[in-house]
Amino acid sequence: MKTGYLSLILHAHLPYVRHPEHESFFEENWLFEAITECYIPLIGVLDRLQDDQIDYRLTLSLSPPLLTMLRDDLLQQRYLKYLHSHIELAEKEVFRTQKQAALNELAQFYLKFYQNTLTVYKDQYQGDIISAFKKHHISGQLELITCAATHGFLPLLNISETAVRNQINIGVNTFKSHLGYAPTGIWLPECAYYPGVEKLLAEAELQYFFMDTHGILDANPAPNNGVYAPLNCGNGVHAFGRDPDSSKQVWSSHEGYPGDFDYREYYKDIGFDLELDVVAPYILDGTTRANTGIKYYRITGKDIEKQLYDPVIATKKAKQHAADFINKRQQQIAALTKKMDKAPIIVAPYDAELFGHWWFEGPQWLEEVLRLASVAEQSLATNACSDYLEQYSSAQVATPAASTWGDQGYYSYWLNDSNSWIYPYLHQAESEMEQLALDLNNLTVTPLQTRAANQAARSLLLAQASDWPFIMKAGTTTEYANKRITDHLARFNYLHDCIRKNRINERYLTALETMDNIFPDIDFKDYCPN
Amino acid sequence: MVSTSVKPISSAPLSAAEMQRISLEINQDFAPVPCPDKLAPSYPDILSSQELLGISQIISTGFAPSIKNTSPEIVLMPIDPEHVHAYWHLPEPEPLSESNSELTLSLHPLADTHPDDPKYAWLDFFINNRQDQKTLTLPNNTNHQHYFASLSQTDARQQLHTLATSNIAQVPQQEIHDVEPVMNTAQLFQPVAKRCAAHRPSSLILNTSGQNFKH
Repeated sequence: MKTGYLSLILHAHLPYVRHPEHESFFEENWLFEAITECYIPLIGVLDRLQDDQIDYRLTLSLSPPLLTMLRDDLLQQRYLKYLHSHIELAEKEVFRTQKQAALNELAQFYLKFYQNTLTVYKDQYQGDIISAFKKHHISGQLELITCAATHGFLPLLNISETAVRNQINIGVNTFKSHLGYAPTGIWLPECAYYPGVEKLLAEAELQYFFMDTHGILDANPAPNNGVYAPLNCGNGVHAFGRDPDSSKQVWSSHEGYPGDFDYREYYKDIGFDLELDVVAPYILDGTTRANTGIKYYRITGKDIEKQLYDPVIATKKAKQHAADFINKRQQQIAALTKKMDKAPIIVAPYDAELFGHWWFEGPQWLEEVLRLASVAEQSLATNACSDYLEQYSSAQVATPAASTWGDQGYYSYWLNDSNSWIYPYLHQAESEMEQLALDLNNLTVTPLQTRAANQAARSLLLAQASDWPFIMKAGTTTEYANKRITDHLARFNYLHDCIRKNRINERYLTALETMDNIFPDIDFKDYCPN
Repeated sequence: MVSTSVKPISSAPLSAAEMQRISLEINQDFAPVPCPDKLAPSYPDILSSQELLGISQIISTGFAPSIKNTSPEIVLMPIDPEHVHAYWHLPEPEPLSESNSELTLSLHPLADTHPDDPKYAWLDFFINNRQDQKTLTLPNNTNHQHYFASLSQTDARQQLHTLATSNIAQVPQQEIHDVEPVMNTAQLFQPVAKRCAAHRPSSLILNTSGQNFKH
């Protein structure tokens, strides 16, 4: 008898990084690393579960920039080049380490890992990762949901309702065009909710979204069931809250599973450890050291010499951690069932890129969690939030509280001294876009003007991505984030100016369409305010 | 009986020239527009990477973001239960105007029904720059959630003139108490219990390798 539910959600998103104006571009590796270490291993998990006829439910949100990049010809070609280069590096490592048995075994492990990645990507799925996810959706195991168009931080775009509406609607439309059906749920970027956004979600025919714990606990009125049942925002759109216990077990850098000493050490990579001439062809410009993905050591412990990684021991540990995770959820459900008049749902959302990239053994852990949860004797079952809403149609009506899942729980990570300068420009561009759409709406617009106005909308959306203020605050690749946001705003300014002056240079327009080729079906008229 | 023929509303007959002009106008304004090309053929069919780069650089240099300072504006954004952030810009004053008069940024709770009356302003901040930003700390222990801001100028007769009024910003409701984590599931049923925000691990945010993901 199943008495409660576990809903695992992976949010897959990367900023739109695609630079045909360069022969190669280092930041495109973000996508290539994620495909290699996260998405293809995840597909491997899903395929094995299917082969073994494991009954499970898992939710995956695929952001529109990620969907677009995964289907992009140029990036697919460049990914294959990246993968062949890594196979070459691994082959060299097998040769270099041939007299060091333990290291050599690991080098062969990586060579097989990259070769298998190539087989899955090229031969099994013909470069179309989305089709793999869709296959598992069709089989009934994987719930796919959408995200806002460019992962815009909605509460700070909400100076204009039209801005938020377009982020949501274009997100839904992009999902439909790639997956062929309408999503029922949405991942609000950064779990950033503000009261009122549910109206726009309902307009887009979305049924549910996710929030951080305090967004539910601080709801008005207070929730009867904590975060273990959804809230109806009053218009049929439901908010599901993150369970802090299951979150901490995976996210916490101190107490979480990924910090176990037997797991692979992310920060010790041959890109930094080997002689420069060995790794030069595989790092940035041949001179600036960078991660290659080949890492030979385990976390080992704090301030002690790192020991070699053992994949067999790490796998065993991942299985132990999965069993522990399921055990703790069962305990939770046992406690919750006594207090609730309906089955509790434990919502456990994570960034998909945590699994495999940062936490190398994450996919194995996930697979084992899903296998254990499928065992009939368990008191819990995995489900998707849409399943829960079908089963329990009535939910408490309440207004959730404004919140995010970021540091401090509110908006400060995306609005602070490092990034506040962007908002006057973003809001001004949005306002100009809306006025332009209104003005053009009353005129006969030529195909060239239509193209330019649509491209202006693309530039605006790309500037609105939450990734840029996030990176500015994190202090990682701030120069790139600054450049991206100023470039997109400059492109918007250029297009706005040339439309207003009716002097559109088709060559320039074609260049911008080629560089920022996201959202092919966009319609600038959607920027006319309602 | 229903008429089956269309009769002109105006009884005045139209000349051939007038009809020709109207026909032309309708043709110009309402002719079917062919479906626009969605996107140009993709690289590298049309433009080389060098050409793309050149155009990108020209646009970035020539159209860098700038604030078009045409009309006074102030915008208010929520940050957390204790802070809001305002940015504003005012056109440069006329040469003969009272350019040295004092500028005041006032923050009002929405309950304030007298936004133009300084005695109802909740918090005042004197500001020096006509274009700037400022994070404002809200007073403790208030029940207000909705705020707006205004910018005003004092003239020589000490009269306050409102130059711009902001949007309404809704601040989050509750403060996160930075103490004891939740000890067990049952505690989560206590509304506004003491708890920690569920932070994401710092290692995922503060990676300095230069090629990490956003999280």
